[in-house]
Amino acid sequence: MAALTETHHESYAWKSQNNRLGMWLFFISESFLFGGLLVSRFFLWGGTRPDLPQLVPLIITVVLLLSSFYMNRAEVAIAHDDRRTFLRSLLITALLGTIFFLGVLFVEWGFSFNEQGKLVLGNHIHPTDGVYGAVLYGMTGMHALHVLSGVILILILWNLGRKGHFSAKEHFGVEATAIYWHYVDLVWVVFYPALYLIGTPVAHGH
Amino acid sequence: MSSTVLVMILLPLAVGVGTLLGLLVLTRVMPGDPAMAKKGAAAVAAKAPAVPARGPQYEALTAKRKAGFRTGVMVLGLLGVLTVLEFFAAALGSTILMFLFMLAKGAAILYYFMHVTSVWRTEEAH
Repeated sequence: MAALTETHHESYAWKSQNNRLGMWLFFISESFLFGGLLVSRFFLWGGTRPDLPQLVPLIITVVLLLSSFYMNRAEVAIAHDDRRTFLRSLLITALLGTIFFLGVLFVEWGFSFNEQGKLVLGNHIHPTDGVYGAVLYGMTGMHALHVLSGVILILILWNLGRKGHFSAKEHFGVEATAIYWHYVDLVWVVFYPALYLIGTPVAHGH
Repeated sequence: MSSTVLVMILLPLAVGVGTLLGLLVLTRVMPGDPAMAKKGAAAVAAKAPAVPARGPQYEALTAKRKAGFRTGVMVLGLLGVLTVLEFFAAALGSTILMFLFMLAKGAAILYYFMHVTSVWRTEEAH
């Protein structure tokens, strides 16, 4: 009986269940970080928001939702031993995540260097433009950092998958990365309306 | 370059990239299951029962996989429709509607993509 219990506790499914619980505890701790940022938005902006172009945020939102779909596709594929679809979907997810990250950095933030080689930020709004700039850059920056880490994790996963790791029975690494990626998507689902849709648009002094 | 830009953007980015590079090194140094590290895919494949390339078992697996893909497409469609509705709710200036659409999108991601129910489901139910 003791041997049976030991075997059960050493099983992949048992370990995965514990790891899964750990992942969700990590998400809860992350929620405090993003929740704090969200509270600062509503506390500092109230019923207003900076008057910003709407097209780019909408496009990058669609890109991120699409990436979540491909991540889910990758997870379903490996759960059914379809390695080709798994690897292809992972690459598409990483590509879409990179497009999102670069979209935030170069289009939304206007990240560039001027003639003197100095870093220039702010197509529409600067980080120093009072509470509007600080909150917008803080929230999008923290989220973009998570997107970047997600893309790196996906690429690590792709590399391992290419070498033959993971199977229909044992793929907790894929599951964990997929849940992380969907969590990043979930955060953006909340941040997008909070930053770009809710509130009366006001001039932000830039 | 102003110190604000340095503190707000470059520092967190540098810390994040540094952490991730560390993670990358860790995956090299500590690849997890020693059997996996030694034998790679062969170790897993040896444990997993082989699924025949034809027959009812294969067809059942294919049907299950296709159903999984179909669910993904449906959830993506739902998220797309809700995003468009959210955008129109913003044009109407209805915060409550926007909030409701946001909640619906979040619930769909949590349930279908993040499999939140797997946290409290027992091993046998998988």
